[in-house]
Amino acid sequence: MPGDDQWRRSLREAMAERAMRHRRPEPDELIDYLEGRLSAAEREEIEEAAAHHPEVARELAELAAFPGTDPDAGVPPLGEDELTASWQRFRPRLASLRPSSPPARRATVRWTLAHAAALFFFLTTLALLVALARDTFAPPAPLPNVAVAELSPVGEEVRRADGEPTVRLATEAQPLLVVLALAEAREFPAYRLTLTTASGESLWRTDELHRFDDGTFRLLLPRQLVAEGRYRLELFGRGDDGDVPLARYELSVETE
Amino acid sequence: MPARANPELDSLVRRIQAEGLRDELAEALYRQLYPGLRAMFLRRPALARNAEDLAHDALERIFDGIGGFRFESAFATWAWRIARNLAANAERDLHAAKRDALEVPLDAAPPDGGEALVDRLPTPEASPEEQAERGELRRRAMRAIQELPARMRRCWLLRELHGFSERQTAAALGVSEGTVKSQTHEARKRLRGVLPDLSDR
Repeated sequence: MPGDDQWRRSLREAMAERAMRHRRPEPDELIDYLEGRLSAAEREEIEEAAAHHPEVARELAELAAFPGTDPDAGVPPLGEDELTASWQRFRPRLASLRPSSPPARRATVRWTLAHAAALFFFLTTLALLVALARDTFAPPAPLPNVAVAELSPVGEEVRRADGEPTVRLATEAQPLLVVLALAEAREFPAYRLTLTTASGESLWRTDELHRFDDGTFRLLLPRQLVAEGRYRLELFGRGDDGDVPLARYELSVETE
Repeated sequence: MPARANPELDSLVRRIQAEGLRDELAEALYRQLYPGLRAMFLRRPALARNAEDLAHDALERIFDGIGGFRFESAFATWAWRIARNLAANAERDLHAAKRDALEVPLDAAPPDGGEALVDRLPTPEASPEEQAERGELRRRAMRAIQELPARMRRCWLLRELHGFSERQTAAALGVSEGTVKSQTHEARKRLRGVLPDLSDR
C-alpha cells in the first residue's frame, strides 16, 4: 500500500505534467483578474492556472497585498530603523527628478506625442485594411506540408460514414490549417476562438481572427498544440454586449 | 473606480502631483511603497541579493512617472506593474548572462582533477516495474483530484500540495479565508476516501 509521501510525490509529478499544458497568464492578466475586469470564463482560467503554477498564485497573493507585504511570503520583516536608513540612501536620487509636477511644456510634449501616436495608428490601420482587402481578393497562397481540417459546427455537420472529422498528422513537425465553416450571418467587430481538450481543459485561445468572404475562418495551429487526441473549438463573436457563442466544433487528431 | 482603490494612497499621489516632490510627501510615499517592493525582489531568488537597489530603481521610475499618472487604474497596481517589469527584465538579463557563461562539457575532466560532471550525476534508481508502479500511482492520484469540484480542488492543491497559507490561497483564488478553510477540509475528507494513506498537512 503506498504511503503518504508516495501519494504526495505522485501528485506533484502528475501536477507538474499538467502544469506544462497550462498557459501561464501574463502579469497584466493577473492585474485584470484582481481588478475584476475579467469574464467568468477568464477568471476560471486564471484560477486554474494559479492552482497549477504555484508561482502564479504567489504573484497573485503578492499583488493583492501590495502596497502592503504578504506576511506569509517568507520575507524577513523590515524594521523602522532599516526603513529610515534605506530612505536616506534613496533620497539623493530624488534630486535628479525634481520638479515632478507636470509643467506646461511637458503637457505640450505629451500632446505632440499623442498626435504622433494617433497618426501612426491611423496609417498602420490603413495599411492593414489594404493588406486585408488584397488578401480577400487574391487566392490564398498554397501552404506546403500543412494538414487541413475543414470543420462544420456541431449539429450542422454532414454526417459521414467515418464519424467525426479526423485529421492525420505526420510525426514530424506539420502545422494544421483549420477551416471553420459558419452559417451565422451576423457580423461582429471581432471574434475569439478557444481550443480545449474534449474534457474541457483550456489549451489556447486567440482573438486574431477575421472572417473570409466565403464566411469561413482559417487559422494555422502550431503542431505542438495538437497532439493525438480529441479537441473542442468554440467560436465567439465579440461586441459591445460581450462574447456571443457562435459555434462549437469537434476535432480528432491522430498521428501517423 | 478600480476595485483595488486605496483613497489614502491616492490622496498622497494627488498632493505630490499638485505640490511637487516635497521631501515629506516623497518620504511618506516611499514608506508606503518600499516594504512591498523590497519583498517583491527578495522573494525572487535570483534578485534577492540586490533587492534594495532594484526596489530603489523601481521607486525612481515611479517617482519619475507620477506626474503623468491619470488614475485610470489603482495607483498601487500601476506601481506594481513598473516594479514587476523591472523584475522580469532583471531576471531575463541574469538568465542571458548565465547562458553566455562558459559551458563545461559533461564528460570533461575538471581542471583540478577528480571526476567529470557526468560521473557525478546520480544513476536512475527506479526499475521498469517501479516506474510502471509510479505511473499507476500518478494516474490514480490524478483521477482522485480531478473528481473534486473545481474550487475545492484548487484550494486543496494550493494549501496541501504547494504549502500556501489560507490567506495566500484566498487572495490567489479571490475567495474568503473561511471558504478556503471549509473547501480544503471537505477536499481532505473526500480524498481520504479514495487515497486512504494520504495524511493532512
